[in-house]
Amino acid sequence: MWKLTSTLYFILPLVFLSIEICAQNVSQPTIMVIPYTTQSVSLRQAIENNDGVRVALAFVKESFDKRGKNTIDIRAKLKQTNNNEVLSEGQIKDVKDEVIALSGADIYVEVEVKKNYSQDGNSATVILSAFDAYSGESYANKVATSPKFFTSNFDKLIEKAVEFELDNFLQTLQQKFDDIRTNGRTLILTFGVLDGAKINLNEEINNSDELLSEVIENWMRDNAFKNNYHLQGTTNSKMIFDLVKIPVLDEKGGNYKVSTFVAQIRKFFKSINIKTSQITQGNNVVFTLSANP
Amino acid sequence: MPSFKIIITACLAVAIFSCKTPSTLPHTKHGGIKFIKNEGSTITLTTQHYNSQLNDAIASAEINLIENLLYTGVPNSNHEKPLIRDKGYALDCCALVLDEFIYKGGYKEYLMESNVLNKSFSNSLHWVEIEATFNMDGIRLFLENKNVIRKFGL
Repeated sequence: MWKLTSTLYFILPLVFLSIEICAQNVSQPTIMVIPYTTQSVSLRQAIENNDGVRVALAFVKESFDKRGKNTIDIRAKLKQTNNNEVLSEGQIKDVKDEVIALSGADIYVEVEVKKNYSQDGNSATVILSAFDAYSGESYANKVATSPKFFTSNFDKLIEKAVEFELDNFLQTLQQKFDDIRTNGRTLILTFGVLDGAKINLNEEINNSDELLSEVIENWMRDNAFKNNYHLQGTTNSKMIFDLVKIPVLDEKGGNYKVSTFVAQIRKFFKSINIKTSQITQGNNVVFTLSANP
Repeated sequence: MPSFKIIITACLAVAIFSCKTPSTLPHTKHGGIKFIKNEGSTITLTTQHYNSQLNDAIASAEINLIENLLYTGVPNSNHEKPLIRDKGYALDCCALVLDEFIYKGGYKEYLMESNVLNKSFSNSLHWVEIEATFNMDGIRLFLENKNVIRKFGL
């Protein structure tokens, strides 16, 4: 009896510790704070030519740090992309997308700064917008305007504006995170038929009464998290789901990976005798379907 | 003679009862709060409240502010959204922590300043208007560490 008790005393704390560690191991989304840019201005120019933008970026980054959330440094990433020769002035339009894609950030926060001049004092407006890096889904938006002061110290005005709305912005973002945790994260799935393959999404499959597109949609309905999906459209050769929810956590409390869901889809197609190849980028997955030889 | 004793005892009881300090009234939350300013992660608010004793009235006013910050949020301020979004869940999981924090003075650790702006006494009640400043980063961190709210992130 004594042995059993002492063993329990030894094992139970380990069990609780492992549960705790497991709960903490859930990987968190990575965040990058970037300046808002127009098509004719590169990210580097936006940062280097505007003191106000640098102040606002630093302030927003600091607030994430305060909440224990380290951010990816945009300037470091710009240097890296520059080294990779991705950043060339001739590719301005695509540079932002490139930097976001190469940074590995899941979420990017765009910061736009406007200086307002008027006779009864100057003020600064800062627009904060958070987006999903892959789907472009908007997570949170806030417009912060400082009170008017008779000053040309716009750094201080920007600081005032950001300081006022930052907590509200982060609370909105957290609300979105909570929603994702409850309702799952979004995947965008595209099914396309390989050129020349004898597959028609709107034809009956395996002599059943169901079309291939219907079989795919039924599978999606049964396997999407909380049966939540949205079919954007179907043609003979393409089927796009612009929203398929998958859980954030698996049954053991670890991360539920996109690759797990993708593997399930692949197995499903195998079961109906269709060969697949797929490309995954973040939460965007493209399947190419072809008939088994 | 025994009836005289009874009368004396009754008189004493009445005297003792009438000298007794009025008991503290139960706290009631109301939304009559006003945002004054924010500096860094602090917020300064005003509100009014009442109680049978002056100190209890001040405490009721402070509790009213903290309850609004936790459960309601303050419109047109840097904390428009409440710190605790799911009150039901928080009370289910952490009733003791919240009770200690809100009603037993735990919040005072994060109360940077509390000043009485106005006070009055009417109908046996003390009425006060206070202005109080709270350290919001501190409160959020406390709630996160006690698992009342989740840390920032997924």
